[in-house]
Amino acid sequence: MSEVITPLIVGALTLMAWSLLYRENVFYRIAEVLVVGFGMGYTLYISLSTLNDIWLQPLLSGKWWLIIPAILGLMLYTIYSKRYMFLSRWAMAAIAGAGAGYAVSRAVPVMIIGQIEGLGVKFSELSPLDLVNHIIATIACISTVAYFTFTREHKGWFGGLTRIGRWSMMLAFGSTFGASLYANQIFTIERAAFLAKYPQNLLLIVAVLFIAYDVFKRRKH
Amino acid sequence: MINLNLETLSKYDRQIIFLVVLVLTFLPAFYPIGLPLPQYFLTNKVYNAINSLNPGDLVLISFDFSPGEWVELGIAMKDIMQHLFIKHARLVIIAFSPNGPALANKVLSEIDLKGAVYGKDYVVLGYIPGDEAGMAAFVSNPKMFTVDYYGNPIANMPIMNAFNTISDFKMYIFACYTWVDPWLRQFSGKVGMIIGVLSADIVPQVMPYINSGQMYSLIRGSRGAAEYEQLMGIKGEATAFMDAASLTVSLGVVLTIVANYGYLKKRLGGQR
Amino acid sequence: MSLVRRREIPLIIFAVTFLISLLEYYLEVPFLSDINTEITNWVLIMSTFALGTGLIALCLYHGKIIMQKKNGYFVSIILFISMLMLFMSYYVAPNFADYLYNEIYTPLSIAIICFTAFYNYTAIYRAFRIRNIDAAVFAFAAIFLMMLYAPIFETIIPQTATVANWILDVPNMGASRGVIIGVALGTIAIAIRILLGYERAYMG
Repeated sequence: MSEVITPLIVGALTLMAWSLLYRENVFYRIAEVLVVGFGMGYTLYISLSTLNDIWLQPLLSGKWWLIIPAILGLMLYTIYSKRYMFLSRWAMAAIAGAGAGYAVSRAVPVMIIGQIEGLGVKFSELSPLDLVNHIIATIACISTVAYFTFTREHKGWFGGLTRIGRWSMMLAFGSTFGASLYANQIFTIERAAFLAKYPQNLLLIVAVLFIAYDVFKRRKH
Repeated sequence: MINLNLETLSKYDRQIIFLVVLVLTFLPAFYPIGLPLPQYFLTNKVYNAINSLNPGDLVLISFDFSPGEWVELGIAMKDIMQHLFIKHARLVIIAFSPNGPALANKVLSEIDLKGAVYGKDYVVLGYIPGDEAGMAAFVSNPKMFTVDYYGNPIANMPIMNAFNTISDFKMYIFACYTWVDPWLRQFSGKVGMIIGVLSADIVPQVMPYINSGQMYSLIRGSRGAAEYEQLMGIKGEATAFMDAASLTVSLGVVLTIVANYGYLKKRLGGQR
Repeated sequence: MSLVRRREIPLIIFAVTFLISLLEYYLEVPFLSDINTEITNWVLIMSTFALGTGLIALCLYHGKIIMQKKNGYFVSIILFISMLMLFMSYYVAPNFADYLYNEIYTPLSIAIICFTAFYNYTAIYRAFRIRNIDAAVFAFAAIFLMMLYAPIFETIIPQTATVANWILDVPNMGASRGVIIGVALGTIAIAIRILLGYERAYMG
């Protein structure tokens, strides 16, 4: 029974979500709030479950000082009060500070030194084509970093270098854009593959009839 | 009679494009074409790396995406984890996204575990909050958990005695939908091999890490999943999507050319 | 201004947590490592509390709509019903919770995300015009990467994949490397600016 009911429910919900392609309507809003509602329900569950594991159980087993991060965490909710909003900044500062510390400390060896090391190669091990490619990639890298240097005017030879950097970045962003078209389309493809199967493909006929009726009704008025 | 002049077409261009996209998306679902799928060398690299694992090798896996990204990342993770269970690797599964543990649970319920025993061959430790701070905390102490995602105490689980530090893991496979910098910052140089299961649009931004060797390889979303299924010799979900991907993405190419053809013709002809 | 309201207190908290997590990485000092571990633990606890802030915002917004019986308030009621249904089923009926999450919530999340693709195509048709060399370079890379992800092009014209992979592996890789280095330098600069008190956006 659930092999028929569940696909029909999911098919109906999918078509309700897709109805926004036709126009704004209450079916889309219902599908949208269902996603938000389920998401909120799961987030509430995982938050309480994680808090129990990392805070409540250690607190009850003797680590009394964990009451301090709990108070700071609860202070985050003062963000909804205009009068006590300033209290939320303490916890935000702690979270931001720790995150920034971890990011900055590891940024140097991984993102700067690691990437500069990637520029270095053994020329004897490269074929002529690989060598040309490596030179192009190095010029693209250096010119991109030069583009973000704003303490010197982008004129003359430096302006030429930053222009190469801009073109390199256009190639990079164009690559991302071209790939993102596929990445975004695959969601529709998956849902279409699901809707094409029986019994949910019958809902496609219902959806088309619904839209045809709505078009006819709106034209009449 | 519908007047199909240019004015009408330009007035309803959005609806026409939507309709064309829908038709091209549904057509292969009803009438599969079965176009050949060329392989990408990085997918082969991932496959060979997992194939070279010995039974009992420890692999760390993190699910760091949301349910909406299931198509791009979840299917690929399913294929990879199926391969890992076939190789009888031992898996420690964590998540830096709140939805990660539930998605890991979904994957585990949909694949053949090949007789793997929970607690001995694999464990789902659960969600680690704090984003990069959480990653740093796990890297410095992988035994930070006291219970797993299901609430079971993990102290006596055999798999938890198989590692003490992060470098005990042979491989780290993570699936994320955003910039990979936090993962690479925290795990690079700590684990033997880092493999990313990434959305197709993140791949261009990750190539420097592949080139410098900081990241071993990657799977590029559902396209990579389809290639992986081909290597495993199975006809999975992702393979079925490739026909529609060919048609719809071709429309993008056509639209780009068509949109600029008239514009460039006018401009190069001297008219504005 | 009272002591608790002073802006310097969050700045001091930021500086202390920042410097401890930064220095712990570079200095082999045992007590620093222990303090950092404890502070990180505290940050994880605070981050978990922070997950609820979005929930509260949504509850306040939709609660107001229901209380004031605004137009379409039944939709907000559906939101609360779905939230409580999934939350409570994790404790009362975990199998039903898994069913809801795997079979209903996940496919519906995918369906909601689908629109980006449709609007991508209309954006390409309506707005993507090659007005200068930068746009031409952008379009060149975009077209070849689109062709890379459509297997039909690679099958019929293998050279498209060669060009696309060259774009990915050479100029894109170089530019992305430059962007990564730039982002790292920017991260360090922002952190220094926050320490010196010039940036306060992180405090909200």
